[in-house]
Amino acid sequence: MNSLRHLYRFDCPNAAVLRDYVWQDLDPATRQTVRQHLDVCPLCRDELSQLEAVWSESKPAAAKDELSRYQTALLRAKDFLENVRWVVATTVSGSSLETAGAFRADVHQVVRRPWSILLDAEETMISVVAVPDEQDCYTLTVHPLADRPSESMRCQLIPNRQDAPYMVADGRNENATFLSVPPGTTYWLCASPNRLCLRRA
Amino acid sequence: MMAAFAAFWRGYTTEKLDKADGLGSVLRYLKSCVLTEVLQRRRKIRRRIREHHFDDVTSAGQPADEAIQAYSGQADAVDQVVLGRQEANHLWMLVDSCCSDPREHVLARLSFVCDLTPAMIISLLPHEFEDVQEIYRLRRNLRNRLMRNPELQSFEDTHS
Repeated sequence: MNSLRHLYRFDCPNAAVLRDYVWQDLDPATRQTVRQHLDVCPLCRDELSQLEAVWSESKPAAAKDELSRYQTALLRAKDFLENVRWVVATTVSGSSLETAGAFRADVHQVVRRPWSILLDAEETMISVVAVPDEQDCYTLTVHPLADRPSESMRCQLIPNRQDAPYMVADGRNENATFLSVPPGTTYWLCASPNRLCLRRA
Repeated sequence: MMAAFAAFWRGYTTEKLDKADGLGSVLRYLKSCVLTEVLQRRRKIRRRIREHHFDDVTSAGQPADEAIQAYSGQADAVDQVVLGRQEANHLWMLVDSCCSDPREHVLARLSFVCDLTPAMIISLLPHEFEDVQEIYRLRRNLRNRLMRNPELQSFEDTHS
């Protein structure tokens, strides 16, 4: 049955057609035909993947930009999370600033500053988590972890610039309070009555 | 290389140039033209080797490097290509008519058109066939059936 040798890839589209398929230069009908052929031909699929590999290199700038944006966001998030951790952490309060020694050592440095205030709540633990979202904003989640949670909690984000929004959000009992923090702005976060100060660098 | 540049010249239209985001994009299209030519040349070499060493190739699986060297410089005439394709279409219809079920159709395509070995076929479609032995058996049965087909026999006589 030597005549079968004539069958070798007899209906495969030319490699140039595959290239045009990848670069989207084919009319819809031809494109559909090629797609149907690809379903049944592993050899053409293999060649297509090689051509696609070259084609996908054609957007290095976009890929680099995306990577760069991702890395920047990651660094910002990391930086911000560091700040959140050392300012807020998990705290057990006393009744005045003098009891700051009850805080963790890294928090202690902050509360010793005259303007850094404040934690004059009841015995309460407050945990704050910062997460960057898709818009490159940070979402703050404040969890009051008190043995006797307060009836309500008000969180205020006070910007350092007048043009930045002043944000207030309310939480009840153990409900979390969410605040979206735009990048590039320094905020003070005050939670009361379990008053807590968070500085975003 | 000249063929690659010719393809680039034909394919890289002003619309593409307008959309290009820099020299890198242009060079990558040129690279894809070179790859296209390499792929097309490779197909041609494999086809020639298969035509001239059909039995060897099917039994050994891969053509020898010497054979590739021997046939890499030859070019096809257009009429030969067209006639060959027409004949192949006719032949494929004959083969297809001898397949008794969809599995045999798949097997015929992968064996005779794609020139895959049973081991390659089982790795490609592990759920379609039980094992390599089954593929060998099915292929042998199909070949025997093809050999008994009078139309195919006539085709064989005409083109031998």
